[in-house]
Amino acid sequence: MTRVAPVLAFVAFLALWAALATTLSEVLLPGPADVARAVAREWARLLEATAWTAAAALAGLGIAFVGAMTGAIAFQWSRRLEAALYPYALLLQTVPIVAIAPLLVVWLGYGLPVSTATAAIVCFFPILTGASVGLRACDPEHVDLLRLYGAGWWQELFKLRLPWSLPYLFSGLRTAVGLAVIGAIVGEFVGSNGQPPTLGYLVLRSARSADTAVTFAAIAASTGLALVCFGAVRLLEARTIGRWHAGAAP
Amino acid sequence: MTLPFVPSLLMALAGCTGGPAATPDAASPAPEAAEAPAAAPIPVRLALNWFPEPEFGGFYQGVLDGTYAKAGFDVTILPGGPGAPSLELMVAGNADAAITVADDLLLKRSKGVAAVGAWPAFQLAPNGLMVHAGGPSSFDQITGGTVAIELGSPFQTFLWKTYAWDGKVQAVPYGGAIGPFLADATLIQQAYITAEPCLAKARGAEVQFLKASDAGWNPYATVLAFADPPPAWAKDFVVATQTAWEAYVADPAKANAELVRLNDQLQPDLMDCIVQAQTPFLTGSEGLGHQSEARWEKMAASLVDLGLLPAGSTAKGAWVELR
Repeated sequence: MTRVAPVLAFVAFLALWAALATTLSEVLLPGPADVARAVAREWARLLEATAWTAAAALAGLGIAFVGAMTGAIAFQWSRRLEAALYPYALLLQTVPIVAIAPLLVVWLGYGLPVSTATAAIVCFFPILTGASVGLRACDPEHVDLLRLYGAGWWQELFKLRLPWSLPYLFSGLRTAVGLAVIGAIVGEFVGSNGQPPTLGYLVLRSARSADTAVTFAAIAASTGLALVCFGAVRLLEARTIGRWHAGAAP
Repeated sequence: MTLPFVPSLLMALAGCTGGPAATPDAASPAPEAAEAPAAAPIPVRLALNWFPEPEFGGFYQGVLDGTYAKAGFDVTILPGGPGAPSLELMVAGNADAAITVADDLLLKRSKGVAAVGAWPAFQLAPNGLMVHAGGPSSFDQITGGTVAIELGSPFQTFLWKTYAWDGKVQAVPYGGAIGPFLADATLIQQAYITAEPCLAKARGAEVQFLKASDAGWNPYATVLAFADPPPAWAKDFVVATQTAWEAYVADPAKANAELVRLNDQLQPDLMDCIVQAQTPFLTGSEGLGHQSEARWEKMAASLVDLGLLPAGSTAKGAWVELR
């Protein structure tokens, strides 16, 4: 029953959506069948746009991962550095992406650089927080044991703190990977000029011409992309720490 | 099944492509380019303020028919999008020329953006309000209801002040989608003659377009701008631009085919509607590319009157005649 419940909920959602769509103009709310027809008609364009958005989101996630891990390790190395820089890292979390995206266009030009940057900005903080907490979460007795045997700072990091941080890091990554897709699309709303075509561009242009079924299809593609990325992180998590960490992938 | 975008995607991921300047999608020079002067052509990156559409047709014409190449230019057109910061891209060094609107140019100059207008494609302002057929047929007939418009824009400020719409006409944000307009027979929205009216007609709606110029708001549009002071090649570029636009107005077929290739939203029917609608706005009564001090100063005075430019501001130095 547990496995059937989500399917039943989805069917009920589709039925409700279809019923609601019959009461409204297709311009305002296309039905599931309209969206399916739009997907069938525009699949090549959707696939290409999804691929470009995925490229920006994953590149942004990668940049954020490298930056956040570097930051977290630096914070672990020096508490003073953490005290000095963490408030500014927090600022990144509060930056209104829509407001700074036009500036990113001026600085970086149109296209993937802007959407990659916006994806990186929104991903950075969850990864930094997960990694920072994780690097500090190990049992102090284990630290004492390593130090008793003369382990240096780097040995302590690689043999104890980094492995111990993985559950926390994956928790941050699971949050970040969904945000990466959202961040990329927000960047595309402002920074995409159609070269290359992306999901944000497709949403913008189809909404402009009231081709709402294509807008919904593009939204569905972005949701699908986020789910695939989330699933990939879950799979990676299960393959790396799933066997020995009970709290992994709840 | 072939997926033609995969190689370029892999190249982009490998860092092999830059921004749009490096993409091959912009119109490529025609074979006539081979007749260009022996000196190396001057590379010019032209930043548009919207997606590739017929309102920029003459620039694409100049690239396609070799007009720019013959004049010694290697032009790369950089398409824009919503809120495109074309002037900022230019002054930041990411473009060599930019397309803007007269009011935007004057406002940004007052904020320190060193740019100067040199050649306007649109004699009549192509913006205005889109109204359902049977609705108000002039601005002064609008005495209530809701208008979807870019809030705080100079045009919105001008309309509400000129027609005293405060407290009578409700302004709501325009997000760029015409769906709400199509679904609400009473809604009025901002529009560009090259866009929304034709898009709405393609969706079966009967609409009227109230020209901003009829309300007294008439900035030059699709204005070719350079850094201030203009580079030495600006005069030759303006002359080539005038030639290219005259060719485009006479026969837009070649450039329009390229625009359809670059912008998949431009279906042939839609393109015909847009080209037919925009031509009178391009030529106006003075002819393509004409500028007058009186028009520029009237725009500056309007912006001062609206409180958007400091008192005493003029258009002096904001535009140059290079033809």
